[in-house]
Amino acid sequence: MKIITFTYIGLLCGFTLGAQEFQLAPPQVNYASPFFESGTSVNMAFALEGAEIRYTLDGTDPGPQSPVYAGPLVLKESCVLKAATFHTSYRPSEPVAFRFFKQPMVERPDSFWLEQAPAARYTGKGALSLIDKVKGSANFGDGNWLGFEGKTLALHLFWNKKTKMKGLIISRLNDAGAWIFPPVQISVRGSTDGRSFITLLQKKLKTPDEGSPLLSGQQYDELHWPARKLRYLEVLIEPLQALPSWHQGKGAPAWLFVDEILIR
Amino acid sequence: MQRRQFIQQTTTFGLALGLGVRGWARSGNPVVVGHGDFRYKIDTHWCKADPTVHPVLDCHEMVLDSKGRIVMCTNETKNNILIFNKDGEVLEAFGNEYPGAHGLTLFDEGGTEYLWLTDYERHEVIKMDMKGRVVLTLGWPADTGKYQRKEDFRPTETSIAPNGDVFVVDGYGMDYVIHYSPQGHLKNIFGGKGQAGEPGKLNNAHGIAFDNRNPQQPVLLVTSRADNALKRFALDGSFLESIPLPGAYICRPVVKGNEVYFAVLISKLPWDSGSGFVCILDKNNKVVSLPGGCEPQYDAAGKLGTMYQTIRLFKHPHDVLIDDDDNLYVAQWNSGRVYPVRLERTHL
Repeated sequence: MKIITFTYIGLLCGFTLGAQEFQLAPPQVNYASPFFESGTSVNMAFALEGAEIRYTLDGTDPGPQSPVYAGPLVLKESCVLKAATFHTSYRPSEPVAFRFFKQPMVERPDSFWLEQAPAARYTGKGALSLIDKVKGSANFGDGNWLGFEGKTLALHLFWNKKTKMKGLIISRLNDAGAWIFPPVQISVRGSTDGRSFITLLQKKLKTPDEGSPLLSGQQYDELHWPARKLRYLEVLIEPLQALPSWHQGKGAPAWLFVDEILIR
Repeated sequence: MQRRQFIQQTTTFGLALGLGVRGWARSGNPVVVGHGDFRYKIDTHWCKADPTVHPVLDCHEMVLDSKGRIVMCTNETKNNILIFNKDGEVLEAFGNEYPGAHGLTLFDEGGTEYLWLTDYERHEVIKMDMKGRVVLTLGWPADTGKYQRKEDFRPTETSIAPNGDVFVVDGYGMDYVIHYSPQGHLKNIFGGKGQAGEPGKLNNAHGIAFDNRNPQQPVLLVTSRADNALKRFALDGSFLESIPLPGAYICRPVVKGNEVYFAVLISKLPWDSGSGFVCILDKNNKVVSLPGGCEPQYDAAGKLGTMYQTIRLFKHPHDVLIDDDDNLYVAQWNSGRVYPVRLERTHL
């Protein structure tokens, strides 16, 4: 009695679920830059017959009720875009997430320099790479990323005119497998006259544990301080000096990869 | 249980089963992947190997022998060579000395078949018979003048021309194509590492294949995987053409009939992104099907759009074998020690 019922339910489920053996890959998402002034356009693509891209802009994961992508999205505010693909014959993809930052960013500094040079293979365009708003890709060798092996990234910025500043965004890449780890400390100092500096912020970061998602992928550090008018800014990002004991390179200095430092 | 109850319950079960089967036929069509004339159904349970008896690490490459058996190499030294029948059962297992077993080619010399294996950890190319007995070994090519030490030679593939000449690609070393006589005497060396897009140079020359599709002008097809490109060379080493395959980190080319097939290891960095699929080119070297990947698109100017994974059928395909019924077998690298998967060609 019960055995027969359960058997038929099992068979029924087996037949209909067999088609959902595979999951979809996430959609392709293209845009010029995650940093924009008034608006930006995002293009998505997924050329699989019968598939749909669904998305959200409020940080929640897209589901079967989320709006379907039908053409380029125009974003006018800072947001998190999440998108996933759907198809009746496959399980939905993992969602992919992209952060977009509406400015205002402060005007470009009048001069900018790095106290220490990055490693030879990852010099990009020097300090310019950090302020040019050209985003690096997932490939840290693409010429847009600056790489520092165990050395502090010390960026100096100078504005002729006193400029109101209240925070910054650091765009970094993590890749534990390539020995690229989050920094251990970020500090920012400011000055109006170039002689006496005050510490605006000093943040220590805990090195993530093995297996943490913070060890892989794009990361944005958004930090604030009470708004001040300044002419000089120093941003110091200190890398991890000794890779943890679980890492194949234990004890050796970690790498730090940054492609943008934007002041708000 | 009473007779009436039994009849009632059996009838209910029968009806339910009938409905269930109808439901399946409507909503559960077996998945068909690929495009155009090259579409396939997936069989992930093809391989019957027992991992406790015949384990694998990375399944690197496969060839078909004259008996229709699928011969595969893996860097698992418990059995570097596994031979399967069409039903995925292991027929033979041998080879314990090849920790870097990577390239596998089969060549019929006047009725006797030989396997050509490359081993990037032994820095050697090994010719063996179908039972694994070594008949010839090619070591690192010191007399080319391009190599200072054995460790710089990490060969990934061989291709044997119809006259028996041997072409080796050093895909994990210095990216040269080295041309030998059938006895292993050096005849020519060309290619080598270069800047991205530098014609005639190679970056991660992962595979090579003799392409006889135009018998008047046989050529060599060489993978330049880090460039996402397929390069064509004349047999004397002169560079002919680079065919861009944007987004596709292709493994070795496999020529069968009028088509060229590739396992695409990944379509985006990093190397363990699990974003692979299969790529099929037609006789004009245009992409016609991407099983597991997006629909191939050429714009009005003939430029191919960047390819990407759409269905997570595979993580890191490393080689494709096409049998005589046009079915595909896909071996994978760094995908959790999985065995090859079979793709059954369907003709709609």
